[in-house]
Amino acid sequence: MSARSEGALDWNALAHRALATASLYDVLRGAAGASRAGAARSSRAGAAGASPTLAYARASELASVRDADLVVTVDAPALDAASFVAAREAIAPGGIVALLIASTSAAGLLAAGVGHAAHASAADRPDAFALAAAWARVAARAPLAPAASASRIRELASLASASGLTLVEPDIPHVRAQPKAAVDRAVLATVAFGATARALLFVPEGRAPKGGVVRLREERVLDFWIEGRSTAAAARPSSLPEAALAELAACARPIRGKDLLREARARYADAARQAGVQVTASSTDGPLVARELVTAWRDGAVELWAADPATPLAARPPG
Amino acid sequence: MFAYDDVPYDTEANAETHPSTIATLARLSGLRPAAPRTARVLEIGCGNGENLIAAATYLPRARFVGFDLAASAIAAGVAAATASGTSNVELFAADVSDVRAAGTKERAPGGFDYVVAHGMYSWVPRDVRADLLAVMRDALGPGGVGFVSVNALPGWELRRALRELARDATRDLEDPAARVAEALRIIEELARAGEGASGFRGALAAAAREYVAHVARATPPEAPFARYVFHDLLADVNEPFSVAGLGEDLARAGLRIVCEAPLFPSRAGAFDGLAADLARTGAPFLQVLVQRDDGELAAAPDASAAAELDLWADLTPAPGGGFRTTTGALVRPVGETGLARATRHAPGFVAVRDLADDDDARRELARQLFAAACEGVLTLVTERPGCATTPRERPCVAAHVRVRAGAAVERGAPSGVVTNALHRSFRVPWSELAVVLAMDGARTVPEIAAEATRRAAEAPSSLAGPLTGASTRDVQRFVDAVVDRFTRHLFLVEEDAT
Repeated sequence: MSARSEGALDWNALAHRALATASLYDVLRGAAGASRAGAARSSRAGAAGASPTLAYARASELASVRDADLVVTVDAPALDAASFVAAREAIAPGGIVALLIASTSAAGLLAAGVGHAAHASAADRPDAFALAAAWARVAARAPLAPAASASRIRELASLASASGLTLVEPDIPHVRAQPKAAVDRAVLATVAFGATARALLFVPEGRAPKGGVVRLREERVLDFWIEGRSTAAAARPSSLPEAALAELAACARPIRGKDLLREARARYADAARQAGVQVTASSTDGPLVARELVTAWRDGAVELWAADPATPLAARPPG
Repeated sequence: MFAYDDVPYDTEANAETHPSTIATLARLSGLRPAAPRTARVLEIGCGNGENLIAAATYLPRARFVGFDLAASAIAAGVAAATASGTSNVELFAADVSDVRAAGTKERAPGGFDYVVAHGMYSWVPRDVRADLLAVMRDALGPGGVGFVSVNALPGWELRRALRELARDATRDLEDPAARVAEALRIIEELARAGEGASGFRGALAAAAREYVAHVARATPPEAPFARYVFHDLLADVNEPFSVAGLGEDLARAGLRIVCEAPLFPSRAGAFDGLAADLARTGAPFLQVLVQRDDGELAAAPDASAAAELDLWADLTPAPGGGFRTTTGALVRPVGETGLARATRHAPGFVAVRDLADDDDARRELARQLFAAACEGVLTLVTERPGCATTPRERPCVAAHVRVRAGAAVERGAPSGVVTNALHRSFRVPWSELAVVLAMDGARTVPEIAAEATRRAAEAPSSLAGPLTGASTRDVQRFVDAVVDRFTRHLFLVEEDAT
């Protein structure tokens, strides 16, 4: 996908992140419909059509946007109360605001070029920094948004709330007790997962689910385009999800979710046959693989696109 | 209320900041630092002064000055120095900006030979950092060497994530102990949830485990809670620095980096620079020696310079062969290597030049011993400390050590920390502290045993251990072993300084 140039934002990649997240959270409404994923259209091109209308805008540009289903923005320059008011007015009825952020630590590690220096492999010396270096080698290929600290995330959520926009967040995997408030989840998910471009989604408060908690529609991943970022993979996968990740590692470019499922089944069946075991397809295969892919996405190991990654989502507004 | 008055910081002696350690590194870097025995030492942010008092008790002709904003810590330090009669230490409460304004020339007209700012720079606001370096520059005499420690990038980024989450989770808590407890709970949960994970989650989990272990080492058993966490991860200010960033700050203040401290094993081989080394190792903490920018330019630490130094081989013969270091590592010198030759003098001091017959052999030996010193197997010194290294009829442990031992014994602590002439600290059990307390230069070893036994009879048996319930012979054997160990580990002074 687009190379990241020093100091420049890859708006297209950020918008794709926002769209994939919005689809998984099932929060896009209105002209796009909740379940459609497809090529978005620029707000400058007009609002009619079945695809979500998308606009990119920094803080000072938000006031010039109207009727967008999805407004994509960043916290650089810093957003303020007026920014969120403008964002609220920029979205169409059913629309959402997506604020892309990175964690401070993740941004710091990548800015320092960690992962480029020669390191002992994580297997030889699995200390924290060696693991971080292995992560950075993969994450360096991902889009990077401006960083926001935990306290800044709370500020942003508060500013948004004051303008009638509610932060929505899903459950966080692997934790024993789910934080109750959406902003608590946002902080934990951003900082603990080393987010490089995580979409904070805001919906008009009247549409927000209780407590801002949304349920992830993992199964939608099978309609997405998926690309693996890590080349490490099990030579003989011992499960279907493992086979899916191995297939991604072997693919040179993004693959549709349904195609991935098919290829993963074949790879797994082959590995199982070599081990003297017979496996058959099951209706649970899809959900199983989908869950694994979403987990891998949250860990930064795969990239997800709700729309064809080969097609830019929208032109950036001038200014 | 200043945080360090509200929650005392558990300051202990730090071997890396001792003038002998600094002098050795400076010599290896081609400088000619002042002799530690008669040095003038300033510590900025000295806390309770323990780092200075522990050094001063073995260097009676050196002069030590320290200041800190925490008045309660300074008061505790003054009391400790008074109790042990350590008169060559001056401690005062002050703001670093006031010290900058007043200057340091009154206290040391010719300048200080060593200026230490350990655990300060990353934890104070920007304006205080500028004052700190200005004081250091002003205080350092020609040829003086400074010591600065900071949280280091890029390795500290993982701790930044821990700090963000810990501070976020405790933002509504007031009580320091409660904040620390919740912070540690969050960190331990991160370690658990990310166990075995790949990606950033796995790295953060590993960092969480490392930090929990680090906190355990830094927290005395008798501390009411991990105060280290309160003053580190939860501190209002905690800024990391890249080598370049620190270098820029130093340059603005008229200072520059001499070398990092201590020497790490990587220094024994090809070294591609401090910044590259940190990027490769990810060390989250950096200690450096600094000098005035108008001083003689330092070179990179050179192994061959070890030929001019003495070495201290604190190695104990291990039952199955080889030697144990003070950290418990086992070394097995082979043949006629430098280490093998050094161990023939263990434990003891020997001049490196005396271990080889000609210049070529001496250079090769120096290289081997430098590598061993980088591994922490032995210690290189510019001068031997003023302590007794052989048994005495009436052994005398340094006064401050006896005061510390006495304090721990009186309060019934199961153990206490004592520091030797090389500024190495050891945590020893109550029973050994009771013996140390009696080693005052006035008693023979049997009399030491009698005094320790008397004290043990008044203490719970859980503390007194080998001093109670055993035969007289067993007690004497125990006391003999303690006296021997404290002699060998450089705790004895030539005579009682009090």
